[in-house]
Amino acid sequence: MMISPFKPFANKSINIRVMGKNLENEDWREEAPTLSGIPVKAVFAVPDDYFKQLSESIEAKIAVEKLKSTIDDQPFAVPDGYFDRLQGDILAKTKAPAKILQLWRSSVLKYASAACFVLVAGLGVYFNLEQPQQALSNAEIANEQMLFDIDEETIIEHLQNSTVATPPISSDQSDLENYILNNFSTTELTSEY
Amino acid sequence: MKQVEDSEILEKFSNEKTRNEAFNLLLNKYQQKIYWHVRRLVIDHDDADDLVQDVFIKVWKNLEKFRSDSQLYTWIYRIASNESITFLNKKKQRNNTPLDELSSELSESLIESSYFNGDKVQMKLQQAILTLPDKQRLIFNMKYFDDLKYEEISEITGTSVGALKASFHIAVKKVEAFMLNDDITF
Repeated sequence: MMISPFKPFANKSINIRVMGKNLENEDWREEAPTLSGIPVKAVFAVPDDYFKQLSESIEAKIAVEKLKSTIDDQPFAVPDGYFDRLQGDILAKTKAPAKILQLWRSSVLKYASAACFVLVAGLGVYFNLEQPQQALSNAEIANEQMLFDIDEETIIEHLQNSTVATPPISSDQSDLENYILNNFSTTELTSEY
Repeated sequence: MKQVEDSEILEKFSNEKTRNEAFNLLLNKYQQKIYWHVRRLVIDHDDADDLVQDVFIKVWKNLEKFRSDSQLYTWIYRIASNESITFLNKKKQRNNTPLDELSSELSESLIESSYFNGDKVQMKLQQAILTLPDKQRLIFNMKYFDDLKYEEISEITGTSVGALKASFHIAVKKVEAFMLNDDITF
């Protein structure tokens, strides 16, 4: 590690207090006796051979700078007067300000529009709530259509095979049936009241 | 070894044939001084390394335009100071860091640094200096460590001697108070 030199510019003002010169530059010492009593030491250090490397680094960077100054850093070319035209073209495209259309010219129109919006929104909500019922009726229609398409014999066969039990006819009901069949003719039974 | 005069460096630099030689002389004379100046401001060695290289690239590019109405070393010091302050400002903006937090960041960097040779008192002094605002720190460092005169610092910073004196005295009082505070130890 290399230690910093003691007071780089001290040669001009060394032993100032002893010689009694340049008091104006030293009068702070009376105000700060503690600070004045601390020896000015080199407290920072650098890696070994740092300053040799620093010189080399600076010289290398300067060599790059020299090279840059000799080489044209813009190898591309543009047509004569290109940048003048470019500026004009850009200004022409940016100059015309966009026309601002006022959406709400009067408060009446503003509130009318708001009312329309609320109405449309309300209708939307209403029809949205109606939708399940509509869907249900649509399902019923679809079922009826499906039954219509099925062959009649298939339906009868299905019903006969169906496990749904028909309720047994009670004895009262069969007596009543026999009584009706025995005492009334078919004509009487089929005639309307 | 006898140090080459600035006038000789400038004269050689003005001649295309001796330009490289002049710049090598300039590097030999000033690179360490500028490094320590920058290092005290940015604390971290790697940051200081990058900044010093940038400073001397700028010196190379602009030395031809340098006018002898100011001293060469104050001109280089000015470039180095500006680069360092700009770096610290960018660091604050990049990390969105308030001043006191940047100060504590630099303080941590100082404590963790493997390139610090000071004892506890020196560490406390560096921590005290880090509590100062950047420009006040810059003035304090140039006066306290580099022992520059107010007139020279004025030439570097472009600030009047009166304003510099006031700023330095405020900085000294703050550092003194910090050093006297026994609650702060390292």
